[in-house]
Amino acid sequence: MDHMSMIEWARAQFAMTALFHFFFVPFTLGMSFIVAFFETIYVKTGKQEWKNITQFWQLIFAINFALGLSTGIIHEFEFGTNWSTYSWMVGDLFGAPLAVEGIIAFFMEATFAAISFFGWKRVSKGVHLASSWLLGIGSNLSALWILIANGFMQHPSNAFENFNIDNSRLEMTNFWQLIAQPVAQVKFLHVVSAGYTLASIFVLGISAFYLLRGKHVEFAKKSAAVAAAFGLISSIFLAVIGDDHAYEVTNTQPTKIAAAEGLYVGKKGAPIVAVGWPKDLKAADVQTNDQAWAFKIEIPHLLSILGKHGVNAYVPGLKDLIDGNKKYGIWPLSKLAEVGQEARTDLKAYHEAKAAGDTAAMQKAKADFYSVVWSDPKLGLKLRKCDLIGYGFFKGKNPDLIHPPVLPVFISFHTMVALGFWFILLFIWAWIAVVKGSFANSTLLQKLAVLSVPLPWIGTSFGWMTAEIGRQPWTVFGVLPTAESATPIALANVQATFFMFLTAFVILGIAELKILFTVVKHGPKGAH
Amino acid sequence: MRKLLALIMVFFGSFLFAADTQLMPNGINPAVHKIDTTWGVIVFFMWPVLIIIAYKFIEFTLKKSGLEKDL
Repeated sequence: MDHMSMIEWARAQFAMTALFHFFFVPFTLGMSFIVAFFETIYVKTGKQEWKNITQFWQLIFAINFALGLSTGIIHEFEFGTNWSTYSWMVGDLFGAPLAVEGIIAFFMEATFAAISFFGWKRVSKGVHLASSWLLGIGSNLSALWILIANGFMQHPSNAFENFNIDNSRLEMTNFWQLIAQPVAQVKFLHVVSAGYTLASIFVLGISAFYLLRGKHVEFAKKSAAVAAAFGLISSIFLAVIGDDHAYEVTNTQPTKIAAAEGLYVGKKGAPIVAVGWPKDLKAADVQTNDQAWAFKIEIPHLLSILGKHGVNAYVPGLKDLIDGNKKYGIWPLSKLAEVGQEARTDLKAYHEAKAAGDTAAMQKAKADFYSVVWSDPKLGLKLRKCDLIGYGFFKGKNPDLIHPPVLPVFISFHTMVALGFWFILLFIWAWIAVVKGSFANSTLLQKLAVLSVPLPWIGTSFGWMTAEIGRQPWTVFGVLPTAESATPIALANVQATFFMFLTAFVILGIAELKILFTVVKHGPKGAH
Repeated sequence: MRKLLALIMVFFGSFLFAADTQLMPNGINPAVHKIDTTWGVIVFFMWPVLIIIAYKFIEFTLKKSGLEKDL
């Protein structure tokens, strides 16, 4: 029990750090390019007012940039302090993209941030502009490498990793397959386009705030025009790539999508629940999907269409993933756990034989460990016992531990999607108003833009929660359970650092908001 | 344009006739589990295309709205 409590505290600490870090990351991803856009317009037109606009938004960007960087570094330490089993077991795979991020993107960002923030009077216009663009590209490339690492956690594959029986670690076998896997690339585009949408709403909202107050009118009109155009393109793209992301998730993490849609009993032509409240029941207590909902309004077939690209395609439910479904080739969890347990036994036998110097027993245990238990010759895929080793941890456990909790995943996923559609509507309205020249007079639109400023932060946080809670009970999906990933340290240590970080985040958060409000209140220099 | 529309129609039309696939023991779709690096690379290059289109659209918006003619 103490062990579980420690894991829950470690998870809470990581979630708190991630959420706090993620307040700054998407903003940085989007603002870096918005600043580059403004500066490009300044260089092309040579007008001082565009320089003022650039410098104002750059100042806001710089405040967030510093905090985003510093909170990201805390994560790296938490991998060591609280998640050392995870780091030790998958460090070769997870660490490589993080190292590339640190060496290339991080240094690229740091170098060009210095020139872009402090080099206005020190370098030529062209060099400065190039630095601003390279800062944006570097910031986004940082996200790329982080999401490649996260893509591995969401969708590991023996196409790029292998379980080394000698050291019991996952080792990389193909770097290219790791970085170019669609799960990671789609995730990257989804996150960066969410960042562009978030930053655009911020710029639109602050511009609307100035217009409502009748201050800095020309500055606000021009800023709003850029934000509306960038936001419109980004929010539409966010929905399109979000659809592809949902397709990848449906097909590679069936427990996540089943939880996100409260789908207990798998079906052909599966619906999406547009509005509803799931009861979060145990799978064994549910016989029909209707039982699992307090109320719901469904859109028939939509989950099959979006998730499987087939009107009547079959989507497995949580019960199918626990009890199995012979027709579609899904094994019951008990069988997966049995094979996983066999892999653990083979691993133990191999090391015992190695210690005893029994070569024949070593070879037998090794052959068993790597034996193929499932294959698809047409696609050239195979699953070996060792690929299912993670399921061994669930042998004899409560079967509902194999899927994430339904309620938080459903709420976070659906809130994120609903907000995404609101952003598209807001940007369509704002863009039309900008082009017609009525944005400065539309009080309702301006008020909605101001009220919408916090919403993308809620949306991106919920998106991240869908991804990370939805992946449970695994740190590496299907390979390494969260419960086995933590450092075996005393509960008090994790609690102490949790409250230490919480205090630091509260102080930093207040300081950040205070600086931000002061800058916004003061407004741009030289504005009308 | 016609070819593009035809392609889109064929893509969505295929949804009507999509056959059920056998899944892997853990419920993963084997066709998606097999890593398609070509698609991954195409997805990655959508990123610079998105940024370029976004900038061009910003210029278009500024000109069309009359907020900046000198672009």
